[in-house]
Amino acid sequence: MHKAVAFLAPKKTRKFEDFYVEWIDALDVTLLPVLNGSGAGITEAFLASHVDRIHQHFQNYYTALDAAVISCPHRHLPLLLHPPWFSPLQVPFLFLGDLHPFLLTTLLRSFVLDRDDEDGETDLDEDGGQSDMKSPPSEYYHEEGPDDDDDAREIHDVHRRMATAWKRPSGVLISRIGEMERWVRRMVPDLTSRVRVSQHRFAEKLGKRLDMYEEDGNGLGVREAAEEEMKEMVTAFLEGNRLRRSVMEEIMRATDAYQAASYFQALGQFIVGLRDKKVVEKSEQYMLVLP
Amino acid sequence: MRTSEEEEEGRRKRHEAVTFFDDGGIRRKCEGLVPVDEDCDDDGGISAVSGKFQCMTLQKRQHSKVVEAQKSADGYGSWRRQEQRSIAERLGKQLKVRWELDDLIEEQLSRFREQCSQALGPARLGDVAQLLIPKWATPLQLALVGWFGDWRPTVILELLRGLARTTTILSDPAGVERALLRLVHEMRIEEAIIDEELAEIQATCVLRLPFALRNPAYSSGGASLSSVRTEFSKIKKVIAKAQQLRLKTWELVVRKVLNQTDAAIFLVMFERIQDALHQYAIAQRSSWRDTVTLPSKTLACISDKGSSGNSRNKEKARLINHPAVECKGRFRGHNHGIGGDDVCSLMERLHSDSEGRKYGRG
Repeated sequence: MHKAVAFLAPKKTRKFEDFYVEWIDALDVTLLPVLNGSGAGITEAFLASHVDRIHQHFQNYYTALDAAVISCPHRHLPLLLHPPWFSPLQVPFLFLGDLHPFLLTTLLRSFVLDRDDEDGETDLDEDGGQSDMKSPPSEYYHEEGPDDDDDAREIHDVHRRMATAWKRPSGVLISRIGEMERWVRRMVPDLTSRVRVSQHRFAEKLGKRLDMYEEDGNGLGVREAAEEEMKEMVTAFLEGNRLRRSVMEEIMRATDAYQAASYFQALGQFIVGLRDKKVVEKSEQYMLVLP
Repeated sequence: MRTSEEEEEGRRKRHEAVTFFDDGGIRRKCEGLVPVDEDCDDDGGISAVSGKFQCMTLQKRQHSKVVEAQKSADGYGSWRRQEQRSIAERLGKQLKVRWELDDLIEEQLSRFREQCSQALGPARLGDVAQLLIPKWATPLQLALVGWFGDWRPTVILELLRGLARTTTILSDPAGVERALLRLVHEMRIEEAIIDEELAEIQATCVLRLPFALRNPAYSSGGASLSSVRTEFSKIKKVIAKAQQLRLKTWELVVRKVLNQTDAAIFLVMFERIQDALHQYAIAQRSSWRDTVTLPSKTLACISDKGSSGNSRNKEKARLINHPAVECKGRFRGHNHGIGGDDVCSLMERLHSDSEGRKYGRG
């Protein structure tokens, strides 16, 4: 299990891009397969510690993002807001450099909604042996190996419980999910308005100095205004990360190990999917039609 | 807003009028009485011509006007006609200049329209990312003024507001400020609507893309890549809306908020700002190298955290056992996992720098 973090052994400095690629790899190759069933035979205690590890893996990513920005705000922030190392599938889903915080709560809510939908379909689920957690469904899912089918037949009790973890969420949990949603709904507009206001301030400053314009552009004070704006943007960026990591921490607090495991499994799978080479290559050529 | 046919018709009529002034008989008739320097036919010579006209007019008034009138009524009538024609000729030249200015402004607007049409036309899925992070824009420019891959509409308006507030370049700064007040408000609302539309797609994609476990079709094996196309088509539609809003902003600024001269001034200034920003971004890029590096301290810190799963496990077990107790303090204490570290203190400093704009729950 320590394989996942072995690549993080202290070095001098390193490119964020390399760190990110290894971070995704660790998630994809080491951390997620355990939840997907390749770790058949795991105990409940092991699952709990493994979920902790995955959660920590996400927290580490945000720690790295924060540290990269803080170490050199003006240089790193523009790149972290528009990461050149992201796939074309990832870019449209960026919000202040990472997934939209709404995504985290939407995903969480989907588990509870499913429970409502599935009330009349319990039979199907039991027949299917928790297939929704198990089966890599189609040709583009590259994780599928020859052994996966054998593993699938030997689902350990832990995985069975993972699949049914959200069947009867407690009233406390549901109300906490509601609170999280309201909280994120309140915070996100604040973040977008921060970015907007700092851009406005920057533009107004430049506008006021337009009559002092010289051919080399120095009279405009672009540097001073830009540095000032960057400072504002850095706080918005850090707050964005803070919001995401707080939501994850809160999910860890509010859920049990099985619920958290299925949540992080879905989240991790989605992030890995956005970078799946086969999916990216295939879909990049699609012509888009305006709906 | 005028249609392109109407604009074309207007331009044609204007050109006809100018041609009349240039080639018609008026000037030839004037030539006998008013010396027109041939060199002054170019645009640059207008002031020189008008200067000469003024001299001629004064001279005529002083020396010949009364005398001529007394001599013969026919002579006076002929002089008046000539004077009126010369004034008309000058007006014609000025109009020509104004119409040319109009054409230039129109040309600039059609350049904006062209940019907009790129987002409206058909595109490959891979192009969506490029519309949002275009190759011609540096990340720094996008961070400073960007929104959906280009200038944020209200940032353009704020730039104009800054210009109107402190300079005497614009002819009616107070009027511009008044007009902007309403426009900024409206555009801000429009921007927020578009932001929300994108946020909605960003939030729900985790249930809709084919590799999402929570996609209802995933477990049945029915999730197909076509859902990627559907989601990206929606995103592209939002990008097109953003582009249209940007274009609308430009058209309102140039046609409604500013008069012709001020519009030309603002367009020139805007180009200068863009240049200055680009130069600044390029200078930053070359002096910084185009990469992000992670400090060694962070790497060490992450490495430690990564292997401490068991201790966190105990803490979590406690939290799960006593959810009601933990409920009270939730969201308040954020554990960044780097307490006491330089990074942490720097973050604190940055937060306090943000002039008390802290979140209630932060």
